[in-house]
Amino acid sequence: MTDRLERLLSINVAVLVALSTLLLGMGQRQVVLPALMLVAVTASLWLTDLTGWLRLNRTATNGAMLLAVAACAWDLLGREGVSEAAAISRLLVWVEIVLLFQQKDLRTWVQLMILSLVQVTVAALVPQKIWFGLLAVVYVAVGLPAVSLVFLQFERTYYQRHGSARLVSAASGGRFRRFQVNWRRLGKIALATLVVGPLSLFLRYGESEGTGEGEIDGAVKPAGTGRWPLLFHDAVLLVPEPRPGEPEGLTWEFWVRLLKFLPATLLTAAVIFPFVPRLGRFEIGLYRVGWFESNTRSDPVRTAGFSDEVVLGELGLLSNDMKKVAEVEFTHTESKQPYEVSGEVYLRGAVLTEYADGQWKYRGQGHRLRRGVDPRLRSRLVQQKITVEPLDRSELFCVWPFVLRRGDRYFYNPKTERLLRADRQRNQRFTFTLDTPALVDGVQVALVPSDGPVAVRPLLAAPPHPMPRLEALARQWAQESGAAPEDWVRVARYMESKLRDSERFAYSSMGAVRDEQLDPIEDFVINNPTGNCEYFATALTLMLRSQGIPARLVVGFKTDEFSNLRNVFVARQAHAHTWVEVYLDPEHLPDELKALSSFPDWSHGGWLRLDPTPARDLTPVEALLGGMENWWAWLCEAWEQYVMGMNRQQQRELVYGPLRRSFLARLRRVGTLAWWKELWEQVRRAPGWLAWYFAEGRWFSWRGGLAAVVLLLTGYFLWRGLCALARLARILWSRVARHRDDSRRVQVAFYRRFEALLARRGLRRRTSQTPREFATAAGGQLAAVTGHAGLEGLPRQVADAFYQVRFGDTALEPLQEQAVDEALGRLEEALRAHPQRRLLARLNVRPEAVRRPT
Amino acid sequence: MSAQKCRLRVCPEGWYYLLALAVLLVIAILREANLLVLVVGLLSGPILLGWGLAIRTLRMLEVERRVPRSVGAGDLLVVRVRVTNRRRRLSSWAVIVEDRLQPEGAAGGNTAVRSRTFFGHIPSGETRQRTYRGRMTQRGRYRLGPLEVQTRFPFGFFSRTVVAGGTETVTILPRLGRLRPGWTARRSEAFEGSHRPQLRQTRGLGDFYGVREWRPGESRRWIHWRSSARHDTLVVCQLEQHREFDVAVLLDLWQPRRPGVADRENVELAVSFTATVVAEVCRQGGSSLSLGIAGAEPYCLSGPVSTPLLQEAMERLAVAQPSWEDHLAKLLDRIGPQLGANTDVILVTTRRIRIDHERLQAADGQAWWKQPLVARFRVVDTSDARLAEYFETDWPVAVWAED
Repeated sequence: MTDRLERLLSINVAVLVALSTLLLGMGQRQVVLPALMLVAVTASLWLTDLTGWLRLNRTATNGAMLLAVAACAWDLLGREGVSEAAAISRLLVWVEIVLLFQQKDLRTWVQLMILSLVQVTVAALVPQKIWFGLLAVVYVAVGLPAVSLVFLQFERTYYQRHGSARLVSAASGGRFRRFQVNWRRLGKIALATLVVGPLSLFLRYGESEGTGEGEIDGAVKPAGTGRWPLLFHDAVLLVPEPRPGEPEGLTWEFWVRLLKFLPATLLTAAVIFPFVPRLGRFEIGLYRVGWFESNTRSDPVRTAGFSDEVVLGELGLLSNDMKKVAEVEFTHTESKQPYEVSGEVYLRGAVLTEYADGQWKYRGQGHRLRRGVDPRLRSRLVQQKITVEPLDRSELFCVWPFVLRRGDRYFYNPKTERLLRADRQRNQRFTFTLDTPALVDGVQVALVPSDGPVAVRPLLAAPPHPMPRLEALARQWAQESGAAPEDWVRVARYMESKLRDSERFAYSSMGAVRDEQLDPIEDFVINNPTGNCEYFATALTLMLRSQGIPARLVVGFKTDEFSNLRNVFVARQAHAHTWVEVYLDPEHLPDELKALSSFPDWSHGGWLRLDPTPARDLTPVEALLGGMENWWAWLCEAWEQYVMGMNRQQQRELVYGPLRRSFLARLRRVGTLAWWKELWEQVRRAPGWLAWYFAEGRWFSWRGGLAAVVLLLTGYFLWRGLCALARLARILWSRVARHRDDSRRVQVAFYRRFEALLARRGLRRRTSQTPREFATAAGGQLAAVTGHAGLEGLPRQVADAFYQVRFGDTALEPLQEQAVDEALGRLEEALRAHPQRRLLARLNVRPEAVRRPT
Repeated sequence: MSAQKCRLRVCPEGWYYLLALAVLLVIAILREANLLVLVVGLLSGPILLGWGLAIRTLRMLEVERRVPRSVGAGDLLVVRVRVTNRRRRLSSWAVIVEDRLQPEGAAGGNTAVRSRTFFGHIPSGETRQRTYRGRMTQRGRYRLGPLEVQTRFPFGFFSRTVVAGGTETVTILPRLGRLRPGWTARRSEAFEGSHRPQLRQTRGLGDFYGVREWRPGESRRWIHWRSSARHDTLVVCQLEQHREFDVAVLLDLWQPRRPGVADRENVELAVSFTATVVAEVCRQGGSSLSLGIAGAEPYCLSGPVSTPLLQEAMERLAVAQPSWEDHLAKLLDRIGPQLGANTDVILVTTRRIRIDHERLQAADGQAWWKQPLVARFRVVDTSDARLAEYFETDWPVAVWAED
């Protein structure tokens, strides 16, 4: 039965291994390995660690390892790329499973943790979604306690076994034997390495208890006569055995402390990640496997919301997919400064003109764009930089109208009136830039001029099957509008408002059951007025056409999601939208509308955008879920953009560039007098501001609370900083004091000379001896050994003088100095008269133990 | 903790970890693998945190050691180590207190012993005590410490060591043996004559010391019948007599210039025997004791029998070192004037030596050695196998168990 620490360690490591396998499985897009590992982990915890019913012995372990290697070799035979990598991953998992079913010891736990880390490393080499990041956080949360528990277990067992040790001085001739070579075992390891490579680390060779540290490579002990056996026994110290039930320290505080490491670890990672230099991808012939390729490339995304053909009722549940489709960044074309856009942005993809039996298609004469740009519009051009994610379509989305730029990789198809890219560029992120005059005062205008003559006939085409009830309703609404028949704008706006604002029509992303006897749009208008944007736009288009107003359907994206992080509008699958454009020839263009749009040339008429789709009514749950979806989408976007997509250029733009600019700007500001004046003013006003703020009960407000928290935190960190400074000052001061003591000690040169003199003869002052004690003992010994009784008092005389200088803080008188000098001279003379070897022998000191003092 | 020196070093496990981290970082940079950079960032956390916590774990930790002043060679040495966590909040985990026992000078050989006491958990504001035991087999003076407090918590990547407190000295006294009855008889023969009875029944002649079995050959008049009836065997009451003569124990620690094993054993036996005799004399009390050691450092000690005297004598014997020079004559010169006429002189020597009047005179040229004193001079040669007749020693079980 294992104790609590071992049980916790087993559970922790098992969870760690399961998590790393899950990360690996996510990278390989497979669930078999994680599922298998989950089963193995559960079974091993129960059968091996807790109950001990199943424990692989040495033979079974080695056999299972060899089988795993053989299976991996079979997998690898003749394969490469993805299959090769998958085989290696499977091998890692097999080895872990074999280890899991062994009786655990420190080595097993460490091996499992290393394998787990290898799995995470391999998983990190392939493109991963945000789930990788979240699971990596969980992995760290489990891994930190696992490492700490392994450490505690190691310390506990190691010091129990090696708590005491004998240390043998070099002079005694003994040597430490740290490593005891077991040649047989070494041979087994070498053979296994030849056969299974690095996997030999995980095989079992028959453990032998080494003597380890503390053993003396002893010379053969003399036998002796047995009269005093203690002479041949070394000292022995025994470390205490742990008391049964002794607490191991795995208290709440232990877990809380480790838990506190988690945010700190994440913070460390967040600091390190952006600053690690991205130097580009080096191909240096490393092991190349298919899925080890660039992880900046994303998988193609299938478009769900956008289509160049609209089939009513086929869409069913409109996608709520929050996958990003495109993002648009607006900047002034001339100044290159960010252009702020408010409201929604309509990105056109395709126009559809012909409706038949619930299906929209394009059928027209096409439309050529005018080359160049009107010089009068140059100053108001706004650049739209659009990045389209990998899609299964070639259409590009942008704000219309636009000015084509030469040399870009997109092209305009005048037959379909669409902006396209090459098919081969679908599977990669595509960025292009266009200029548009459609943004006025930060708003996308509803009315834009036509570039050229417009064929009106297709825009007035009626459906093949008449829809009398829809036409009647259109006629009724036209009359209700009270507008003259020539006032197309007023009629169109009225119809738009009727569809959008009346309570009869409602938006629903759910597919509705339609009357098969009727055209879907007629059924929508008459019987079941619930539908998505396609129904509303179709209804309006057909109603307008029935009243002789040319109109067409536009398919694209409508987004108001602005990312403050990167200053871009983001279009997602869920933003796919359909709206209506009414063609107004010059005769039907009202002047006030033209004035609002402020375009100079209306000679070919204009297009008025109408959006009859009502806003979606959200239930509180839907609103909550929507909010969460937004957050999740934001996280996914941040992950893709800042984690997966971080490269050299982005790092320069987002990290190094701003830091450098900010630093330089602050440096420049600090150098100016105005900055200091401003700072002084702020400091001077601070007390008054605080007094005003906290007067009259302003304490009890969220601002007051926030201010109090900030003040407290500031005070706390200030206090901690002061404490740290005080500690640092103490340390520095102690060093200075020590240095001063040392320097003072150096000044007592005669005592150093005295100690050096005696040290050469093997007499050294022990740390437990005072100089006076040492002098007395040394004098006695020298007198006894040399036979000169007069030597006995000389060391004491020198020591007394040393005390006077060192502790009495008084210098020696000239006569005293002379006396000390004479005493040292006599000592030297006497010692010189006795050869060193003889003297050392008399003092019972080994010559090799005498070193020249430094 | 009166911290003197602190040091922080990277443990081998920490180096391995850093190496793995560096390899991952290089791969991440070369392959521009952002996820690997993220993993490296996450793995860097434990390095920084481990460094910080290793430093904080040992702050305000007080360590105290309790060790006896002296203990006999081969006897159990018990050292208590107490660690107090003076912090108010942070507990300490995996604290190791390392102690060293190192001989001072040449005594005790060259072997130093290290003990590491592991404290798994020391909660804030609490004290934990552990005890380590040991057997020092060689007499001498040993220095304990300084204590080193060490921790590698929480991950074992960094090791923080603080040197705490000063050093202490423990004296390993000579191992005491047991004087056999033969020694009593021999001593009586030497100093009092064999005809003089030592144990008397008469109550007024001494204090009761104990009872022992009557041995065949002894006078039946010594039998104490009342005690014999109580013990159901023939016993003799031993009475301790107060004799007003002094004892001088002289130890001649001579050994050849290149001593063999037997010579070293002789030295240890001589020291042990001397210590046993001194202890016996002090136990009996009532007289004055002189101790002279003719070793590497000749030494004399004398005074009325008392516990401090015994302690001093034992400590001197613990550090006494043999010499290949003959210092016995000098010792006799020094100690001779201090000896009275009624002093029993026991000379314990490691060599075969004969003491006679001429030798004593030759030592100094003065005839201060009076004839009665010479008569009371008794020599014990530890190289003689007959020593076993009146002296024996018990050995600690653990020592034999090691073999």
